[in-house]
Amino acid sequence: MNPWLRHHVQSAAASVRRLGRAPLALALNIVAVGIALALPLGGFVILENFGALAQRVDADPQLSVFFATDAGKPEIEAVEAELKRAGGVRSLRFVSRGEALRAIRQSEGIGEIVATLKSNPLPDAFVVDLVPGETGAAEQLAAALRAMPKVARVQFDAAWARRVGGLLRLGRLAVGLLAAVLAVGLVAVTFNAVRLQILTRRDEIELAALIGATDAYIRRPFLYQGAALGLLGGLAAVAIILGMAGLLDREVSDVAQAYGSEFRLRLPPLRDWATVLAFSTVIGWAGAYASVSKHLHSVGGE
Amino acid sequence: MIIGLSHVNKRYPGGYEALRDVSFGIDAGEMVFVTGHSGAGKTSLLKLLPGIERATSGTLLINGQNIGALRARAIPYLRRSIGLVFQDQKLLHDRSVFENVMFPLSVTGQPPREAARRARAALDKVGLLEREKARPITLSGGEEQRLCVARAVVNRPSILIADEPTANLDSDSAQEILEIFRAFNQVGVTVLVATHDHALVSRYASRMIVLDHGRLVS
Repeated sequence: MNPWLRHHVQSAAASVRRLGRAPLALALNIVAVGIALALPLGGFVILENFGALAQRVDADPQLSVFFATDAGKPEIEAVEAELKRAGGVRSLRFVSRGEALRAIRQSEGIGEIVATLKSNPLPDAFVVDLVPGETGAAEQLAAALRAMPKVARVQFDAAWARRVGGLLRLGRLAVGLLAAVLAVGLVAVTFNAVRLQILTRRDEIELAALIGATDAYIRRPFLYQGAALGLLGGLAAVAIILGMAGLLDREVSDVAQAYGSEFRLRLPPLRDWATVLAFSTVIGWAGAYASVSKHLHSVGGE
Repeated sequence: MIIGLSHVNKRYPGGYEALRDVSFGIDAGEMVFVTGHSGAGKTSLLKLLPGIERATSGTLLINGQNIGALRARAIPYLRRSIGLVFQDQKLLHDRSVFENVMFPLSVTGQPPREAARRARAALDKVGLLEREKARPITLSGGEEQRLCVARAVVNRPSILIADEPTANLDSDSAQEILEIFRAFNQVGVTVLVATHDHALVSRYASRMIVLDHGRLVS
């Protein structure tokens, strides 16, 4: 094995041994790093789920036209013609009153209530899928439809979709800022953890420098320590989030089921977890690098 | 000439002048004593050679390299060509005698088997081979100093520099240390020893560099 590679292996092994020698300090550092990472990570997971919920509205804007119960065929055909003429309409579906009643009878909870009704209270309706991103045109269309005869109600969720989109962007920005601030905090935590290690090995570092060790040689074991601390902290953060998600998942699906939805808590894909671990490892490495550099600077390279 | 100083001055922040206009040369294979009262500038002089400190002015050549012009990243390689025995020893007390001698070899990246062989050879030369498993704290003053010498020579430097290696030693132990230095000198190592003990070294026929208040007097 060449000397450089051998020193890498030795440094890595030695730093793991050294970390293991002070298990309490190690555990506290891992918890500190883990919690600091879990905060933005948890925020990210919550936002993604919120986003997934909102996406249906966000990505597929829908417009519903409800007719008055006494609307006849000519009025319905007029609206259909208007919808077919308008731009921005992706698809069009007519839901007759009978159809609507059948659908509602099958749904949980309300079905029994509806069954007791003597007459059908539901109106005929058009459900219109719109092309996303053309809110202005859709609003004009909604206004035009409202003015047509026997149209009781036109429901268009643009404002709501816009608000959700804005909130999501704001949330992502906040989580991003939180992550940036906590990244600085993580560098500080590893900086300090490695500084304590440096202080206990001050004599050895000084001697190594005096007998011709390069800065890279002196840094190496500490860089491994910082990176290991970052990685372990990252794993702790992942464990915290997975644990919390596990606890929340049942509650969430219970609530969703009560609303007749199949919604389940979504977890980020494996690639995102890997990114988190890589990020925390790099942060730990950076904290260690800064710490050793500061020490080397203070003992003087010359 | 393996070491050459020309008009070297060393002034510390605060204005204290440790060395004033010092010039001399040492040939390869020489054994030279640097003497003078304490505070005469011996330690300052010895710290300039491995680049631990830098001269305020003047030029300093080692193995033909101008130390003042050396870049920071070249300094470690300069230090590997010089064996240092420190005034305050700098032994690692959490390691055995053997591991202390192994330390410089790991810094220079010797393969473990070759390093162990060299470390034992160095310990053998200073008569500490049977104490290789001991902790430095259990050694006598003379043994500690011999351990420092073994550590200094284990990387086979061409220059050996010792700062007050006989301080705090009884005269027998001091004599032993100087004999070890002479043995290394006889196999071609250039040896530079600083000491305030003029009487001890006057028995040797070696050249003497005498400093007084930072000036070279002879």
